[in-house]
Amino acid sequence: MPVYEQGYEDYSGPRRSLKLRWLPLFRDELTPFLKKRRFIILLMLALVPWLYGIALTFLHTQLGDGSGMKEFIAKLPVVDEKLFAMLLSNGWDLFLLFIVVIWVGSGLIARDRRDKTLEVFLGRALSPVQYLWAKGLTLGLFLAVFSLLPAFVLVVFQVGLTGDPWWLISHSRVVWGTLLYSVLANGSMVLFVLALSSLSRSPRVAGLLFIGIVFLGDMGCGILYLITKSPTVWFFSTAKEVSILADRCLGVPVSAHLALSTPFSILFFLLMAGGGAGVLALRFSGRRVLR
Amino acid sequence: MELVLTLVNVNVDYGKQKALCDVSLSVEGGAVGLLGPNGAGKTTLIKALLNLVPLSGGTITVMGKDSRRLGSALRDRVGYVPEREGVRPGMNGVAWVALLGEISGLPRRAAVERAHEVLQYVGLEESRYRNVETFSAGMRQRLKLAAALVHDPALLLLDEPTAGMDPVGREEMLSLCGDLAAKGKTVFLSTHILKDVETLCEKVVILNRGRVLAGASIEDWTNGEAQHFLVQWEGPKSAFYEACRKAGWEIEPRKDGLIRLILPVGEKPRAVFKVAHEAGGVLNRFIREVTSLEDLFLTALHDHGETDAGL
Repeated sequence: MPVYEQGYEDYSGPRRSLKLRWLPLFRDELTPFLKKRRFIILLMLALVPWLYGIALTFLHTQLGDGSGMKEFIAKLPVVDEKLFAMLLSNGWDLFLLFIVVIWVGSGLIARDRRDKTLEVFLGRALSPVQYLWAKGLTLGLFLAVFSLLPAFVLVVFQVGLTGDPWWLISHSRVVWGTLLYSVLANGSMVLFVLALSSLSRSPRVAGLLFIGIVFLGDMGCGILYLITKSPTVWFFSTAKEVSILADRCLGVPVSAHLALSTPFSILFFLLMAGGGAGVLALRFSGRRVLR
Repeated sequence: MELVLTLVNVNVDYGKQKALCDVSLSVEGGAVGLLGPNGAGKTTLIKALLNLVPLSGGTITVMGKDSRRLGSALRDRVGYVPEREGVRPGMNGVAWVALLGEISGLPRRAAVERAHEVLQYVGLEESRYRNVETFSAGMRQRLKLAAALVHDPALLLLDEPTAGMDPVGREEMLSLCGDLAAKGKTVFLSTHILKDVETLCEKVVILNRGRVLAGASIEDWTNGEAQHFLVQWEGPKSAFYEACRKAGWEIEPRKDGLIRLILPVGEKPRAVFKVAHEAGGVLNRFIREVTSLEDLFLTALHDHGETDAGL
């Protein structure tokens, strides 16, 4: 029996709103990573430094009055903007964050270009903006695990254990500063990585590009600093700029050896985000990304 | 009938290279073949229809709407089978087709149900839970067709859908396409395989080096050609030849005893029997030689001074 005799049925059911067409693609990008045990362990490891913050909260609120520990606990840092800035830009998390950026981000567009699925997606009722939004949100969500999620948990612990909701008012900068840091750092990182991913058909090449730019940039800045001792050489160091941004967003004085002027830091993230957005606009508006 | 596709002086450039040059054509519906050698611009033309390559000139109208403003709602009415790859490794057939169904607006449950239906329709019901990277070339082509059908489009753009398929698979794929055309869908088939167009399409557009060389219904085209017949004559040969020449027909005697008669356009085949009767003999065999699409294709290339068809 010819296969077509099995019959073709028309579809006359409902259709989802045009504005939500990115949602399945977002889910499709997200779920494979959530099924990978190694990836989940990596995300969990990112929370380790924040346990220090939770431990501090616990010690200050639960054991602070204990006679034997009072002096020891009094010497420990308190949970405030400075601690949040330190936790947001700690080296351990930054290292893991870069791994996640490479693992997730490098293949977001490159894989679709390699498999020619990009033209399949864009040939459907999915605009380039919706496509990029779905891809960017996937990476953005994972990057939030390094900042927004643990910061939120720490705030909940702090308020819960002290039983003092006014802490949130007196330390409101913790909330909006973390939010601002997360949007600026993660947003520009996402745009930058998406742009790199759109330049290649190979996720590996896109990942190597990222490693080259970020790690070699940091290394070069380190060497230049040793020679010049000038803080301005850190301008192209992603890790240092992230650290400075965290300090600035949370109103903490920046270390002297990193003290770039604020406009330089802003310029760095503007360059990263603007450059990434510009490359994406060029690649997608002229459909060069499909070649 | 409403025009499904209209292209007016469409130009596409890849840098200095002209991929499409003043392409104008219109498609009313049914099965239409886009025929041309490799590198003729067929894939570019299909991508231009989907607004996947920018036009450097001209206009494309899909179902009455400008393709550059091809809104999402209109894209829901178009299904596309790309020439190469176009499937995501690591996913099984149902998941991939359902994902594309969802992107085309079907709710989750409906998309999964529909994925099962179309995979069954294209003959992949046994393999639907297998990962797509384990599929053969033919199965991938079927999978791509299923993905193009999941949202029930009115227009199907098929770019080399039989590429890499064995003869049986090719025949089945063409049967599916024919069935879809019979069900009222417009099938726009791009291929370099003449036989596929001949089997499936009512109309053909010949493209070479980015230019449309010819475009017409295959039937009209064939009718526009001189008619060739092979006859077996029993009777006085000289009288038959003389009568044929008098009627203005060409005669080509063959070694196998048959005679090829070439009748001019508009001459009715019945006239051969009349001439045979007048010449005092009998026609034992009377065979119409159908002009193949290949002849027409080569004629079109020749007429336009194209010597390298690349086929």
